[in-house]
Amino acid sequence: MRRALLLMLAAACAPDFGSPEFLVDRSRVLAIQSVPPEGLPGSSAAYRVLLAGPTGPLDASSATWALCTSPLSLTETGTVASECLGELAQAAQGAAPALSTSANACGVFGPVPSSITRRPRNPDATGGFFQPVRVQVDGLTAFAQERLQCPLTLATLAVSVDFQQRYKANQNPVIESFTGPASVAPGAQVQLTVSWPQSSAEIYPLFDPAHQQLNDTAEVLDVSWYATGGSMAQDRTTANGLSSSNTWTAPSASGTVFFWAVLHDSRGGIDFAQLQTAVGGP
Amino acid sequence: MKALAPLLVALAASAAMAQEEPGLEASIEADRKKEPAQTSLRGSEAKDLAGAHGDAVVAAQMLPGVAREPAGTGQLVVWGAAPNETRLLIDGIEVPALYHGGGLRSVVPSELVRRLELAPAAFGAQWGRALGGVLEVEMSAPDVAASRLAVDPLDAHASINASLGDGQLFGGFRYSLVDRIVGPALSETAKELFPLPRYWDGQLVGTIPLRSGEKLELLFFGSSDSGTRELNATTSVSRGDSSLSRWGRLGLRYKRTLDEASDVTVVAWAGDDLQSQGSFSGPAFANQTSWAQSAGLRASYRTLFAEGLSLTLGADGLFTHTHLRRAGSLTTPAREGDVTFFGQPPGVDVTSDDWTVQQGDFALYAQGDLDLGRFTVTPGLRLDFAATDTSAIVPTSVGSAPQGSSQLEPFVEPRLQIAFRATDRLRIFAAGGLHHQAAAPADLSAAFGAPTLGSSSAGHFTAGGSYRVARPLTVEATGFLRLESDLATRSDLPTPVLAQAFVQQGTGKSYGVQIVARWQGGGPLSGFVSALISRSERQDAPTVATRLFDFDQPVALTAAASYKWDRNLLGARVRYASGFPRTPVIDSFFDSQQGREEPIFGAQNSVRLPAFVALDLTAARSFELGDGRSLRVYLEVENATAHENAEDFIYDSSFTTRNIIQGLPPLALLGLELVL
Repeated sequence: MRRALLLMLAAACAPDFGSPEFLVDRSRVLAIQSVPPEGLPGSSAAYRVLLAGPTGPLDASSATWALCTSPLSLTETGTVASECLGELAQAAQGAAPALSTSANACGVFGPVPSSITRRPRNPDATGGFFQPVRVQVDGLTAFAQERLQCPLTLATLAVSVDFQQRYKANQNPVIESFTGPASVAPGAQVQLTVSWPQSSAEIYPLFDPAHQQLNDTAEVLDVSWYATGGSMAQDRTTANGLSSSNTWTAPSASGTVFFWAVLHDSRGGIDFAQLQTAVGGP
Repeated sequence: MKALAPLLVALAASAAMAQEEPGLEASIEADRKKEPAQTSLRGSEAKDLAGAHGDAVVAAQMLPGVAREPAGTGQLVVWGAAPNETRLLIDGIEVPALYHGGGLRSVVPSELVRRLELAPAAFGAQWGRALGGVLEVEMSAPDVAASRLAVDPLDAHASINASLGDGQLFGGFRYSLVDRIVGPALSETAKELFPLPRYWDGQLVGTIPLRSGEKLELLFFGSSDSGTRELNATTSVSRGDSSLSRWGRLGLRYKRTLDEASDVTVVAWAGDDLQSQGSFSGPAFANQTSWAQSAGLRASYRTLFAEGLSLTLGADGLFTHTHLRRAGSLTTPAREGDVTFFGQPPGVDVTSDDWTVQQGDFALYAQGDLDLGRFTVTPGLRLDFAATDTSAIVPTSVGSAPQGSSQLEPFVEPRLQIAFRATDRLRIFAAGGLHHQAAAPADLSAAFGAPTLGSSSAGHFTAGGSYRVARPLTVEATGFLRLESDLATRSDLPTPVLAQAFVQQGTGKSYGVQIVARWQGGGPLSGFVSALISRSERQDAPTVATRLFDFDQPVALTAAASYKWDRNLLGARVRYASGFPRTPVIDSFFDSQQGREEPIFGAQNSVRLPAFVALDLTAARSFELGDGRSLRVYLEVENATAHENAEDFIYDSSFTTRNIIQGLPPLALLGLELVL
């Protein structure tokens, strides 16, 4: 059969996605670190917020902090309940306060509901349950998610005991180095690299309810990249061994560009570091 | 709107001409003997409509009462009903979908389509298990033995129709080309937004004549769709989705005509479905797979019970065994009523379930057609028994055997249709009835849903009239009201009851007016103009405010016309449709753990996408090649005016910029069909 095909397909119109995610072209919260990132309900953690703007790091001493006590409803598809965005009792103020999670957090946010007729919360992919901690600064709202040490449910007694013995609360990963050039020529492409020690990628037992077993699982680390100018090849990169790299292209105009790298581990741990470079010379 | 004027004028002008051309065929017609407001479209005419790509069943998407579907979904929103509330049938056999991914192509080749029948609501007692409407594709193998080869940028299709003794055998197969032909022309971003489908389908239809007036048909059709995509090249964190849908049906259809007013029809079938879909974004994921085996039996006996009274008695049964596995986020995929944004990654919560559902539905029905002179009264009664058995009533605990649940729901569903022939030109009709639909097996999970969900119910009411302006031109107006109750919605409790992630407290209301002007003559010009003005609302719980239905489309206008002469065809279609509601993002916050901005939504469904406007054109010509062979060439231009239609809103990563995802650019398709 003789056939002929004609397809006139104009280039599909790709929408304008706005500013790239890495570009700090306005005041932004880039990370909130809690130390420790995981604890028992009612325990305290120290927080620090990374606030940045187009001119570099910003002072976060005016930040106000609050603990959210409302769980996410099934009718909501976000990461925190809408009540957490409303009026909350202020728990602390400043750039680096200490806050305690709710004593009943494993009931509200975890697998231990107030009654056996109630639905327990689902964990995340690492078996974690979290209570949101809100920070408001410079008109911005951000949340940290404090990981809760809650008991296993749906597990046999033997597995529960084994879990209690083997599970170690998460620790924040540590950025060992954040390297890049001190100065670059306009338009130059350079590599930025973040590295961390082996201990940052912790091994933890992950409960598999279907098979009633604990599987040793290594944390996955990835890096979010931010810059006040130029362009990043990728907004977020995964680990390549004990480091992760990204390619940054300098802007055509001279000036100082700030970089931030935020290292995430899969259980909610965070570390961040800052770097700056002079475009067009030192 | 201005674009509609020339078509209306053309239709009106040719109305007078066609009065002098007896025997003209209708391209779209009302069939009052079956259902009020039912629309029928002949397959031979449907495939010639502009925008149908030469596919008769695709033309169902432009039938009066059908909202303009969301691009790339192939979903049918009929009179404000959710797509899964409308039953899809091929020759009385229930099928999960009529379209391949994207809705560009149907699963039934046009040469098999005798007629499309859409009953948008208030249908008779012979149909049930649907809160919305019923769309049936009536098939019949071509009369003439022939082989066909067809190809266009979407796919290639081959079929053979042969005579075997006194019987006939049709076999066909289609395979998609669109991903290979169009794919290379698309940018990576475009492919992320509109994943190109990969599909195939096959059909086998055998006709075995028995005694005089008796016929047995063997039907087999199968379909497969698959697609995968990786999203967001700006991050090395993997993100994407995939889907797979495969299903097949094997059926027998027996019909015996006893006399002019009596016949017996039996349809028995078995089917197998595999549906799988998944999405992932870094560690967050959601996937679900279901395997379903189903069997159905329909039998009806129609006879003239007494002078002026014909009676139809029937039985309608369906049994389905479904095995489902699901893992990942509870709120992914989103369902109707969820507040989401385009491209939203799966939720971070994880759970899993593996469950089975048996559902049996058996109904006995009776329907009479009482001729009372100017009045025709059609009372009907459907006695329906719906049984559901689920494998686990609560999530399985350690060391405990799963405890299942069973429920039997009887339904008495009265139906009534009344037609009044006021004059030779004016008919007035009204109809109403009660309907139900069983819970979807996917909703009956102890972990993700609620195993004890019962059926949802609806009351349908329609009233209207048709007026034959001149012999070829009929205008019809139909008002409708559909009230739905016991809809499954997500529990809004801060801490839901165990195994009750869904509760049956949703209600819905859809109402509106449909106006259709039909060219009922045929001849060189045929066409219709339809307007659907409607509103569809849902209330997810008694304590929350009523919201717009996600597929609410207040205005949907379609004008389609075809002009045929000799072996040539010219056609045009103009569409205007209100944009679907969307929930705006009004602000955002930063989630440090996810390392991304999260949206803060405004009032649910409080804004709309811009209205959709498109002009589609088609032209075709057939060439006789001798010895009964012919070649048909068609050219279709979609969105000929290059209108920048919005298919959805899209936000940047900070949710500070909202843009639109544009639909199809001007698209020209050249297709060939060779008949040997």
